[in-house]
Amino acid sequence: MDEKARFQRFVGIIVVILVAGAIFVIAFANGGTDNWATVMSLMVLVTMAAIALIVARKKMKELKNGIPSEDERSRAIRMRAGYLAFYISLYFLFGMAFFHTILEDSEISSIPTSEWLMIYVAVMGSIFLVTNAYFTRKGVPE
Amino acid sequence: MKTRIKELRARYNLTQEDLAKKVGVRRETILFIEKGEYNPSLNLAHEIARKLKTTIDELFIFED
Repeated sequence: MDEKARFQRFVGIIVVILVAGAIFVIAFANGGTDNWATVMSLMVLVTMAAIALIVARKKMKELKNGIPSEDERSRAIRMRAGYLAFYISLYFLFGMAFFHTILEDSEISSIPTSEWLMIYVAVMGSIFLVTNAYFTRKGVPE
Repeated sequence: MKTRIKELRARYNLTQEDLAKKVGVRRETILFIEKGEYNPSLNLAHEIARKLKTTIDELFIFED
């Protein structure tokens, strides 16, 4: 796949995700769901849109200069960051399950599963972004 | 692992970006290979050696 087609695919995927997210947030807001969840969803969506805009601008600039958007090192970094994000967030999931069981009558336990899931995905995404940025600057450990 | 990429780049008056474009990778990849902090694939090592008119053996110095 050439660079232009890869960029177009990236923009297409982002647009689909953002439109689906916007529909989800609107449905959430109209469905009488509590305010906190709607605000959280909106914040996630706005953050995603902002990150997508920054990445798209960077990719477009690179496309104009003939720099490949990815190569074997960036693929290795992404794989390593993805592996770590999955692995660490799995421990986080076990931790959440543990606290959920231990603190049965506390406020933590009263958080619904859907919100736990959102937190879990946010943690996984954050770990991915942080490790990806770290390995990009410092190099991937062998 | 040490490399002679920097030395050979200078010989052919190439910047990291020039070499990166010639072998189809990002500039940072060349930087990390030069610093010995990234081990390139055999294909990439071969391509870099070819562009710098040398061999992999000459380009990369493996230390015991």
